[in-house]
Amino acid sequence: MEATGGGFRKELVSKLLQMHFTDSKTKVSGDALRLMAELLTIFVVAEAAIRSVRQAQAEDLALVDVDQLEKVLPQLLLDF
Amino acid sequence: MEEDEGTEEQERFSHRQRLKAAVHYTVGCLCEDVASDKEVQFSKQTIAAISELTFRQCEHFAKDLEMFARHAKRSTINTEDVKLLARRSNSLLKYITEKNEELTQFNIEQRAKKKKKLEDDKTKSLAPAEAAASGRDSLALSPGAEAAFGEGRQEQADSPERRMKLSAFILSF
Repeated sequence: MEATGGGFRKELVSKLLQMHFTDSKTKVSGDALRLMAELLTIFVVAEAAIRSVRQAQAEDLALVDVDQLEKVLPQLLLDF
Repeated sequence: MEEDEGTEEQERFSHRQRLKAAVHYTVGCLCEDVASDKEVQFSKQTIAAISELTFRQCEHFAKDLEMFARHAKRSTINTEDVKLLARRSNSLLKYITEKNEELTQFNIEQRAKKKKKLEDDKTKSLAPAEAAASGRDSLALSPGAEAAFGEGRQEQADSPERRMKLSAFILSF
């Protein structure tokens, strides 16, 4: 159930969120933290990375460059 | 006064930089997994762009989560807020809901295990406590009882039956 080797660590997610809270009393529950880590992992891996890979494969490239990321960016941001 | 503000700014800035670096590292690891899986390569700029992107999305996520919790008159963000955050695409929402259910299931199992462990520990701590009490009453322990007690102490970790036998033996005096 814990995040596999390449996952966002809970303390990192917690600090990232805490940085942008306007109210200092706001806290995150443990379960919510784990879900957020999952969400961020999905965002990075499944969406950003794999969509860019698919774009590169569609263009028959072996290197995923920023151009491919640029092309998938609008839909990515709309989905999140 | 200005100096304090300046150093505070600097601290906040370097804190930001450290967090960005941590995100970049994690993103790099994740991208490496994808790269080896799909047999493509990620350019460094791409990984840097994705980590910058993640960092900025976190700001949006954090503000939204805080708003949701405040809307529900809570000060702690919980799983419902995260689910609301994931509402934009249906498959994402489904995935997050599934994960949430897995998590609650896991928590229930953990709590059951802990309870069982506590009960086990209670029975374990009862046996030597009784042995000690009866030991204090009868000062001159017969050699047999002493041997049994010594043995019991050595193998305390993994023989509850032994301890049960031991306490029964000592109580018989």
